[in-house]
Amino acid sequence: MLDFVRVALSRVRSAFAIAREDDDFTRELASHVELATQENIRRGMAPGEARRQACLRLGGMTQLREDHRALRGLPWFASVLQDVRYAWRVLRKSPGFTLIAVFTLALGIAANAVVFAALNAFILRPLDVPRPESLYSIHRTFDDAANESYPDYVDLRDRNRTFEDLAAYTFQFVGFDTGHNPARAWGVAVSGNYFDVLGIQPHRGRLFHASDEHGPNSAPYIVLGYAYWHGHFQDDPNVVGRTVQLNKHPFTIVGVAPPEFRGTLLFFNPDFFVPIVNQEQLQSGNLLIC
Amino acid sequence: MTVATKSEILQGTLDLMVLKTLDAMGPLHGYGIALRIEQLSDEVLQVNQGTVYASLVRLVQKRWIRAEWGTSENNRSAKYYDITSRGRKQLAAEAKDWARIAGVIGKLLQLESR
Repeated sequence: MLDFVRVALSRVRSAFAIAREDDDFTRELASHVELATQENIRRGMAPGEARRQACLRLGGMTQLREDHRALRGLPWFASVLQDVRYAWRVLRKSPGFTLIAVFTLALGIAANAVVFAALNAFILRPLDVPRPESLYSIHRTFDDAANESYPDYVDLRDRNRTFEDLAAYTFQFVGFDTGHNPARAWGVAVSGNYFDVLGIQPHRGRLFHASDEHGPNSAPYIVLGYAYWHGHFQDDPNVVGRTVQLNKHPFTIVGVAPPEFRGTLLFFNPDFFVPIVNQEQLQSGNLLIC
Repeated sequence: MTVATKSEILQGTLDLMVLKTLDAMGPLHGYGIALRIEQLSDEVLQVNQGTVYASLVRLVQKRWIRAEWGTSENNRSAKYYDITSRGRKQLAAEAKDWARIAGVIGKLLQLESR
């Protein structure tokens, strides 16, 4: 076993010293022929014949050198390297072809990525909440505005007699600072009843509720998405209670969302959730006109 | 068929022969090793002298022997090979194996034919 490792190491070393070791072996073969020639002369051969016999008994030098190199280094590595160099030369010679080939590949890969993303969102990982069949998304259709305003949402919620409850959410892009490394993060600002409407239970700590909201900027709480907690907080169990800065405003981490919950938007897994009543602090403009 | 069989046998046995030669003779260059093996085998083993170099690479890689450039008795530079302590251990083990197998085959071949 150790011999195997020793041989492998020796081969790797040699793979990076091909020219030098070729040279060394050529010298060694030359000295072999020289020694054999001297011996033959001592036995009474003519110098020319002595040399010829010496070479004959040694065998074909080119073949020996090739075999020696193959044993010494990593022949497959050398040939892969050769192939890569050759490919590079050919591609450089016909830039038009290269461009089209690269473009075609890029297009193909992009198409596949999109198809996979869609498949992942629709089929592999659909919205994972209790009773998804009773969940509906409300959009306005009578003008071009893509979103409801917050006051409209409040009216709809308060006068709703069709659904159990109505929650609201909006994209939120912030500078996320845990104390020493501010980074961009994408999350959602959600109405206080968001988690309760969806029936989500916290993975750690707690989630915020409608009762946490007492008017604009009254609920500086943040719930981390599971993936973000995993990736940026290394699954730190003591994260609950810590204060982080979102766009330079302090927010207290109250909990972590469960791993299977990836927000309510396709193709978007929020890094965090904050109460929508605190959105003013995160936005340059004030969307909460109420 | 004969070629394949021959080289298969050679690789293992040639390594063993080179190892034993260095063990018995002390530091030698490739030519010296090839010559010694030729003499000992009474011309039974008719191979190119160059084949010992493949054997030498394999043995150096396993660190059973080491190589160093030196000067020959008539003042020519030559690469000298010497057995290491690991090589001696390996040689002892392989010699034992060899003797055991040879013994078994010897006994087998002595069986009377019907």
